[in-house]
Amino acid sequence: MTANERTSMHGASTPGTFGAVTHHGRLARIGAIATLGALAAGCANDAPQDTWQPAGDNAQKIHDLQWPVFLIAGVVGVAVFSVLFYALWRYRDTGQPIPKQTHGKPALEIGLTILPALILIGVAIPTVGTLMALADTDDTDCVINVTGQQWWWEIDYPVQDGCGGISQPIVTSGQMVIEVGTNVIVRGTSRDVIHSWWIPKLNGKRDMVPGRVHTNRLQADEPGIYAGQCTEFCGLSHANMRMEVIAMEHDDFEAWKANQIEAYAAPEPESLAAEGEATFISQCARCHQVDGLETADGELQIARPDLNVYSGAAPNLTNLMTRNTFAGASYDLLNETCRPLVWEAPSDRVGERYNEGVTADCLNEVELREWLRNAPAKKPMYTDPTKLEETNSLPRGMPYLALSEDQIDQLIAYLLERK
Amino acid sequence: MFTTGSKLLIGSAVLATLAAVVYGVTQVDSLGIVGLVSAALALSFLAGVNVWARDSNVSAMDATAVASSEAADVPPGNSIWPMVFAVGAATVLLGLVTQQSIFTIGIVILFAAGAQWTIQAWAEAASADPAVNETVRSRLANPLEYPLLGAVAVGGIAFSLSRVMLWLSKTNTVIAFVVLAAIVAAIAFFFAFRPSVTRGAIGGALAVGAVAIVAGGVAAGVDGERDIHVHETTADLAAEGFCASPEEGEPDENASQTVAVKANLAAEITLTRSGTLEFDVPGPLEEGGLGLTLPRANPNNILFRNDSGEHRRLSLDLGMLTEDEIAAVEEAAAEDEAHGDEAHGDESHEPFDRRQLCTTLIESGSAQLLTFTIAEPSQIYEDDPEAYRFFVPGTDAELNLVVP
Repeated sequence: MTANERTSMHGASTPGTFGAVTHHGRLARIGAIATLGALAAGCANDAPQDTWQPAGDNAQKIHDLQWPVFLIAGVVGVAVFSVLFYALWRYRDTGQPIPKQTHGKPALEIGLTILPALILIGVAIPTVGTLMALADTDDTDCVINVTGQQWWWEIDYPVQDGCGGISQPIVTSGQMVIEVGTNVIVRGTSRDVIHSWWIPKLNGKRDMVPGRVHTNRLQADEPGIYAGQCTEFCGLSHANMRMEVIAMEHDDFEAWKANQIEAYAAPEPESLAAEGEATFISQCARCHQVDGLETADGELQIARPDLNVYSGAAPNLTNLMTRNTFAGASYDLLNETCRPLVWEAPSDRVGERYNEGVTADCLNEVELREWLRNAPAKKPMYTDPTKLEETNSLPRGMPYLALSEDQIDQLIAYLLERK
Repeated sequence: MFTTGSKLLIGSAVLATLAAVVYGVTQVDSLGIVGLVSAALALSFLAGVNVWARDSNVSAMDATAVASSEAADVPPGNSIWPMVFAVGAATVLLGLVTQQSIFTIGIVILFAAGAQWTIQAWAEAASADPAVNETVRSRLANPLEYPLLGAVAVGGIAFSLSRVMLWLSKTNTVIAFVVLAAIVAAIAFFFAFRPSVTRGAIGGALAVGAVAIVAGGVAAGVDGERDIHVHETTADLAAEGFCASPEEGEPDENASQTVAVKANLAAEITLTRSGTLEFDVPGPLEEGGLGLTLPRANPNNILFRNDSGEHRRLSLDLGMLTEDEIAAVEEAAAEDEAHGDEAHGDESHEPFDRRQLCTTLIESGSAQLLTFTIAEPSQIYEDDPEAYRFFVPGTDAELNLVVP
């Protein structure tokens, strides 16, 4: 088919003109649809990491800053592009002679230097004020340490009078529990590469850098589960390095703390969980710490992840079932039936339901089983023993352990009691 | 017909493509092939733009301009850069079979000569007037040449001066450089108050000074550095079992000078005049409780401040050594005994059975860092021989350390 035949099929009276209009019209429609799509993407209903919905005073400070800054930037952007497009269209090449060339226009140049400078100064003053307010640690009432490693977050609560008093250290991972209204200072660092801690509804980002301690304030106005994600590319499973902050009322927080420091309760002798304890010691305990766990000869079982994984750390599983995610908060410990009961709980019941932990009926056994069966298949990690020369044969992430189905049954029974 | 710039870019793109193919066949490293393919793509793009824009100095409306312009009638002038480029290539080859440093020098020569050659060729295509072409070349090249040559000159002089400083004793260095600064100031005053001094005289004086400095640096470098006293490190002290001792042959009188990471402290521990250990950490933690809590399996920077009025060190006790470690310590002690422990003169140390780290002995009013990583959690927090604790030898000051 020739070009003319194609044109005539459209029934154009003036083939060339009709073709051009159609082409431009199609481009315009595609552009309009793309623009609408981009705009519609900003209207997501389920957007747990929306920085435009602050839920604490730190995020509110950022929100109060970003509105005017975006407004000013928007006005400037529209003005600049309007002038640019007008000039492009108005003075487009139509065969006219080249106009007389002139050099410089001091008044315009000085004006266009002073105006942006004034705009930048106007933006800088509230920006610096907000940065200083967000860096303040004097009014914080609770210290929580956060340590990033490929690809999960360790969260520990040091002994302190803050946080309502913590008499023994608490170590957890993936989910940070705080009291509503409390100003928390997160002290963050990393064990391997640079990570970035960001709970969008509670504050801005903070890089977590090996060898450095960076702080980040957190405070939540209402009980709830606030999602976040590592925002500094940190390797293969960067996208699977998530975290949540669970904000709860005072009484719920006290109950959570009390539960976290409860002494270890060994499984009923000769139960499946007791077999799981032995399996845990033989298969898991060289990396994962369970506080209070004793070996068969009565010695405390001390994990040595520094000898077995590149980052030198693995999640502490003492109270695994008091959390409701695992594997760097990538997977739910709660099944689809029970998850909404916690995650979509009314604000005043979030703490209570979270503290119920994971029961056998609510366990997301399918994914936990798959994880135990072959962790690298569930989450991309550097665990192939033939490719670990750079890390002195130490894997980055949980390796394939070749557990039997019986061992997995035992471990699940044992882990279900870790709360 | 292709313009001069187009030929250069097309040739470079072909060269980069060939290099990518050769590299891809002979090497397994993916980074190099990515770089070369990227270079080939970028150069192809630039070549395309250049072909389309016809070097930007030939009218797109004049189809015969490439052959008929004035610049096309002028043959290229003499240039030293092809020869320097060849020297660079030879140096690279020489470096490949001898030393990496020669290879690096060859690469630098190759790139510098290539850049100069390219700029000169480009400038010569600007017009038929060599003076104008030279102006065009200077306009592009001088902003690169002046800072680079300046940096090389300053770097050479600074390096030479550093060799001289390391050759002289500490006291003589101060004297020599005070005198040198006075001479420089005197000559500068002389030139300032004598406007009639010619430009050549000033340049000559500067050249003589620069040559003298470089010659001094070479001579000092050849003769070698003075004997520089090596202080005991905290790791040495731990390895030799001195952390439980309140004494040491050589207290560090300038300990605070080693502190450079104050912004990243996990905690600051102070030995007070009343003989107690107090700690401060970022945030609202209060003193007391079980003690200081530090994270496991991560480096911790602890700043020790000594306000006691005496020379003191901070030590950290991390429980008993294993039997294998004790055997290694005893072996080391026996070796020291046999060979004489030069580091501590008359002091001798007994074999020890505890895992300890410590700062050096520091003067009162100063501070020193202690950096360490603890792999195992402190499961026991009470008065137990396995509990982790900070202490100050020679005092009763103690502080529990909790590692979750």
